[in-house]
Amino acid sequence: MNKKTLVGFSAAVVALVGAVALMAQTGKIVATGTFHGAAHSTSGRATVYSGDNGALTLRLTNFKTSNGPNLHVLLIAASDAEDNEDFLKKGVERVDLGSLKGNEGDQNYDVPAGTDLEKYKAVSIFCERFSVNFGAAPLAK
Amino acid sequence: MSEPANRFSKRRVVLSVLALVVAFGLWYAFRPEKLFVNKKVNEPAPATLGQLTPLYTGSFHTDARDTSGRATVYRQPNGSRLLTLSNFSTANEPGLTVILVDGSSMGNGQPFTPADSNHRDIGEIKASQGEQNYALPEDVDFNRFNTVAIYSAGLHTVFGTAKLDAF
Repeated sequence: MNKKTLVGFSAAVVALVGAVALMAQTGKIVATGTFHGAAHSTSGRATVYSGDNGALTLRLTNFKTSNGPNLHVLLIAASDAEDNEDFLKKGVERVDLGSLKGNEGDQNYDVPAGTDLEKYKAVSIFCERFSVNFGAAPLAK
Repeated sequence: MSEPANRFSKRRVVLSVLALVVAFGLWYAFRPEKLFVNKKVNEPAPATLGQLTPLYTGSFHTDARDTSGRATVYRQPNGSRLLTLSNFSTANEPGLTVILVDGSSMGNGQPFTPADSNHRDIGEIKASQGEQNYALPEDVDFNRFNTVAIYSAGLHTVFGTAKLDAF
């Protein structure tokens, strides 16, 4: 290999590594959507981010809902949910991301590895005690 | 005479305890104080987001050619703004450019003639598919130019648009 080819090859490798690094740096929003909810006024944005190792995090920003007993953050196997809908009665599958950390503010939730976002397409703030959907955000890629 | 009074007070104690238990049960079930008490949290963005702050985002919709994916505008630590296309796909055609337009002025499949007043040029498209970044001019007014469009200069048509909403 002569010097010229070597220099060209190195430049190509550097360029490729740079391009891949840039892609990894910005290919982060997997899906996002805004909350709606009438009975229990709910607003803000839900965004799923992917980490370097492929781990998914759901982040709520500018978030606000009513406080209530035993509120959970769910991913539901539906494209959206109606206000006050008891989709559990209808047998809609769900992934429970845990108790709602606060009814106001920015907050993060780990999404279990292997969760299929092609299937679980909406976020619900769900009152476990009374099986009521406080608000939902459909996630778009 | 004292015995009936005693029985009465015993019953009163039992009733009182019962009432307390019921009251506690109702309180626990409904937690009415939560109507007034807010719980605020403020967690930082996931580390994966790095130093980028999302400002606007929107999904692409097909206009003249199948177009899909997401356009997002980030603010970088140095204050400059960056447009990223992710999960992106449009038709392969020479001479495609990424432009910002006033979304309300765009018609479905209508010919579009760029003029200084109706768009901002972002640059020649880097690829018809995949993740890509574009530096944005500093003085872009996103309140006016609120839509990313993929424009074909050859065909005078817009292949697809993504209306940007505040993040």
